[in-house]
Amino acid sequence: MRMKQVLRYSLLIIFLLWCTFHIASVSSAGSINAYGVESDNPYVVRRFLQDGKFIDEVIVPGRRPESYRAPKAIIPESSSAVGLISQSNVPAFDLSYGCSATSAAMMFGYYDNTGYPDLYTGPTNGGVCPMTNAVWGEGECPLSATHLGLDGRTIRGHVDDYWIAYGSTAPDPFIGNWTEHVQGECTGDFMGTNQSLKSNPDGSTTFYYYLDGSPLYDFTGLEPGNRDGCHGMKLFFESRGYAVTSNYSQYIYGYNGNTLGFTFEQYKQEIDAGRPVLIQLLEQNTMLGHTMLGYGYNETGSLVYLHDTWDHDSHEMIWGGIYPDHYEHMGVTVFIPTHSLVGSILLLLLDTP
Amino acid sequence: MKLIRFIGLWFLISCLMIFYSESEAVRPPLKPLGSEQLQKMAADADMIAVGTVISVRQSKTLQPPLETVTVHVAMAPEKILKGDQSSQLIKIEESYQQFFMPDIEIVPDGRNTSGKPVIAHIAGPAPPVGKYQEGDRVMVFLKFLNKSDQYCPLGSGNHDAYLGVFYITAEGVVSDKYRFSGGVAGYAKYEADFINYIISNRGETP
Repeated sequence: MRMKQVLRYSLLIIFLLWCTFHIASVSSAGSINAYGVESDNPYVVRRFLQDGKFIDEVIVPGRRPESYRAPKAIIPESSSAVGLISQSNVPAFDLSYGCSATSAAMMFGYYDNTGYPDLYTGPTNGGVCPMTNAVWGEGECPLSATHLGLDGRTIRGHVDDYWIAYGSTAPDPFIGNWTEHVQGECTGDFMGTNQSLKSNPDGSTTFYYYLDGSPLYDFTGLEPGNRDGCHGMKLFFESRGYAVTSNYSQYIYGYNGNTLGFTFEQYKQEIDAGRPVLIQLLEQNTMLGHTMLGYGYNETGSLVYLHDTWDHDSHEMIWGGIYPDHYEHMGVTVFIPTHSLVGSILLLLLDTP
Repeated sequence: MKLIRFIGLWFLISCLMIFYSESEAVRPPLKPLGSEQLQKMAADADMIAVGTVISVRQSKTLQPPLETVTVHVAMAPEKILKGDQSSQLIKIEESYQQFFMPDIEIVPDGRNTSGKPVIAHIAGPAPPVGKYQEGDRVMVFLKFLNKSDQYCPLGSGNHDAYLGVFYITAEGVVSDKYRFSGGVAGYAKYEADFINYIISNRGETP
């Protein structure tokens, strides 16, 4: 009797061990990724057979430069020298198909949380823009770039129509192949980001400035072939049913010797009014830039507190300085929405200690 | 009762194994350069050299809406770690495409500007090529171009490849495109250590 029991348990152990290793090996051989494809590669969106061979369609989102990561900032308590927009309302997204579209998405994610609720209306978080894009996976954010299969989307979106590969200047995938999606729901659509017909390589957005440092309001002078990202932000905001009081890009005071530029004092005024500001950087060697979202300041050291699109942390930069090691602070993009009634009440409540 | 407990334990172990295997599947885009990749670069290179950039010239060819930018670099070698030891001058050529953008646009009145010059700045990825300035000391991993006596850095033009251009600075040997992983980072602190490391991994005797 006892022998039989030992034998029975031994056989059961062998069977269960076999099952365990089988399941584990199947899982590690190719888990199902976010696109429903059995692959360890999170960027394989489709697999098809051609000439007897499997072909994986891979979309690699824009990425942060590994060597440029800046240290996390320690944000002090709010004081007379420190001005902050409540961090609990300013999202920190990592790069989702372009730094400028991502920074604008963070700005509009903030406004979505503070009185403009129709800016993000997707199924996540009850239709309220979350504080990070982790829920959608690294490098994905439907407010920056819509994507088939992401956030309940069942039709092609921004990424499907415009994205090929980081830095690509090739014609967009939809051209000559299928009908372009109706632009909407994401900042990248309106800002011209990644769109070859707007002369933007993948990962890029163009902004325009007056050389003399004065503000350039809502520039449309080179449409339709070229789109000003600042004008695109206005188009996005209006497409969601809201009005814009003012939008402009401007060199900061002193850049290239100008005396008409945007000052740290003006930046502080924007933050004190509850309006985040796009911080524009430029690398002098390549003349290519980077966009981040400024949401606070510290008068001591003329610091800007910001989200840099490379992670979900807070960082800091000296106004007019270098970030993190060779991008020079060159300009700003200021966006002033027309106050909604709900927004006004919310801002009043947020300002109340 | 014992059987249920046993199956429960099995289920727990299976779940842990599945979780572990899936957590490994997360793949960062471009990892810091490790010793294996560096050894592969050393083996793939036709020439590895340390030297000083003595001239940089840029030319552009317009093919609307794109323009091809070609960078011509001349480098005076100090040490050739792999390849033709007799080279007195190394010529490097790299090229990439970008959308043509006039440097300064003056937009006529009536289209929301006052006729003042407007400049465009693109926020986006830098081209995957080396950045050179006269006087820079660099270490380059090069492959032959089809043209005679011209080279191109490994990985040039490809955002997903490790670019074979390193800068020799007071802080050691660095890349402006990626970081080094632990092992390589140790050698990269000092130029001499890095050179010795490359020599021992270059895949041939000069």
